[in-house]
Amino acid sequence: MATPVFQTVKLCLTYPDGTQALREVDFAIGAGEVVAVIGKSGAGKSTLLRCLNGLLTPTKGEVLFRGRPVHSTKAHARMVRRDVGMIFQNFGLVPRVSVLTNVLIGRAGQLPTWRGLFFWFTPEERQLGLRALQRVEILDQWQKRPADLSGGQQQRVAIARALCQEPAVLLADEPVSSLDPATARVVLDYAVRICREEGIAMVANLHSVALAREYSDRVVAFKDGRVAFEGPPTQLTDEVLKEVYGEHFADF
Amino acid sequence: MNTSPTSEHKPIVPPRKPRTWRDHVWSGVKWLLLVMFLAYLWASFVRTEFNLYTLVAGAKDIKKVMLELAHPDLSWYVYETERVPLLDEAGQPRLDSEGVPLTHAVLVLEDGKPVIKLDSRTNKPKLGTLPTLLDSMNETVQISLIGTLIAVILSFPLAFFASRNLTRGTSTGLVLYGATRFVFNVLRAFPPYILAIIFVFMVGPGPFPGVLALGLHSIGMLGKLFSEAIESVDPAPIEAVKATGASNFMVVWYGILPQVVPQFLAFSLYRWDINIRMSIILGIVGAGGIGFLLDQYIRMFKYSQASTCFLIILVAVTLLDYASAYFREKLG
Repeated sequence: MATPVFQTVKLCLTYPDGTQALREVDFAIGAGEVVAVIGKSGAGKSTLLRCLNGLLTPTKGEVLFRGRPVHSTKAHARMVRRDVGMIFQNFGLVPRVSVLTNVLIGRAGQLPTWRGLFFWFTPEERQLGLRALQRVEILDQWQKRPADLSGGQQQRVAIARALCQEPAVLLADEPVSSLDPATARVVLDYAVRICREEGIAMVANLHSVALAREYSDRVVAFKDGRVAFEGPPTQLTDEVLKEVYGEHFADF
Repeated sequence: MNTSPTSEHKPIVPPRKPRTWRDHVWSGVKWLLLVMFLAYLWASFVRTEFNLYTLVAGAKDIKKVMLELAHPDLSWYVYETERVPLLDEAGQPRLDSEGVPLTHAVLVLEDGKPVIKLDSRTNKPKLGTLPTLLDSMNETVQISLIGTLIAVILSFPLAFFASRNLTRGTSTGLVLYGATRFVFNVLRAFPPYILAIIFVFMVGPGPFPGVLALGLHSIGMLGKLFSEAIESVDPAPIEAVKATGASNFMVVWYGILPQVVPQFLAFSLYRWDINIRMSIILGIVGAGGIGFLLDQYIRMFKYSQASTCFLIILVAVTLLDYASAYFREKLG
């Protein structure tokens, strides 16, 4: 494997209230790889994603983006975030502005402040946004406001916003947890298909083991802030799942 | 017949904690506080000279005032005869602009008949009460408009520094937060009435001190409302915009502003609404507008003119209230 897109070295994060969310996590993702991260709530999945793109600063250890440390300075963490798309469980769309503007907000990192001030986007940027909307097949809704869309459509807009950044990696923090199973599949289909076509690496926190098995090249399971399992979905046996989720895993 | 008493038929006595001497003292204190409050209430009636008899007895004294108030002066023009001596200081006849000696009346021929007419040159039409008052009502609205606008422009950027969710984490942020909050509190603490008196001393009477007083006071009020709106935004879009690598400014501009703009506009309109009524009061201390004239009319016992003031204020405030409510509904 060439230089991994993201690599963490003995990553530790302890929250101010004393919760140890990550304990010496070593984790890597190669270019174009689709990785599913599973684990119980509070196992450190979301914390890991936020450490990767510098939204959270680790207490110990390092995150490398294409071989360079993410957390060296705040400005550098910002530069990294430009190249890393992220989608969220609750979509994080900006209310009261159009779908297209929401997608173009993906360019916020690259935009000069004076243009951002007036929501002024160049025709090229608009084309980029419209193309991203076309990729997730929601182009006909471009003038609507996010509140007028269904949950699945909103998450597709969020995917388009991340695409608009032309990212190297897409981080997905429980992208389909607030959607019904059918819609979840549709949305995840879009995200994974586009990532594979564009060669974008993807790290997705998933609550559903079935979806993780189906979509990912590799599964990483977290337990109490540590990596409990790492390997292809085929190796994800019932014993492993029992280890990760505890005795009650048999219920699903 | 069921003779054995069952537990169903017995009245339920809820378990109760036995009262200790502490409970007795506390209930005594509560009674004492109640009695003290009632005594204070009585003292307040006495102190405020509350007396219904005086109110009824005084009714007949304001009959004249009420009559005049019931007849507002709605004249558009008033004709005032200018009284000018016919001879000047040197004893010569006073001439008008056309070189004709001034007379009290002129004799003119109309259709061959002599007709006596008042000399129109000494009987000048002058704008009456209504146009004068409409103009000063307009001034009142303009004072409140500029006062509110200044307050909106200044409190808008300050409000972001006065929001807990934006200043948390860094010591600079904490200092800015404390400082802006303090400024808002100080500005709110001065009633606009007091501010107006200070500014009348500083810049002289007229509309300008009114603008300054309203503007300064409104900064405090709007800043507080704006910052509370910012504190209650949904954090999800903020995190999402942050994740695109946007700068702090852009995170605020894209993640927060679209969420708060409708609230900001509604608060500003509401503040304007309040300021219109406030600036009428400010006129009384010399800060321009219709309040200034109203105060003068009342002092000079010109009640029919004062009545016109009330009418105009009523109509203007009602109209603007409807307009403001309409726009706030549109925004909300």
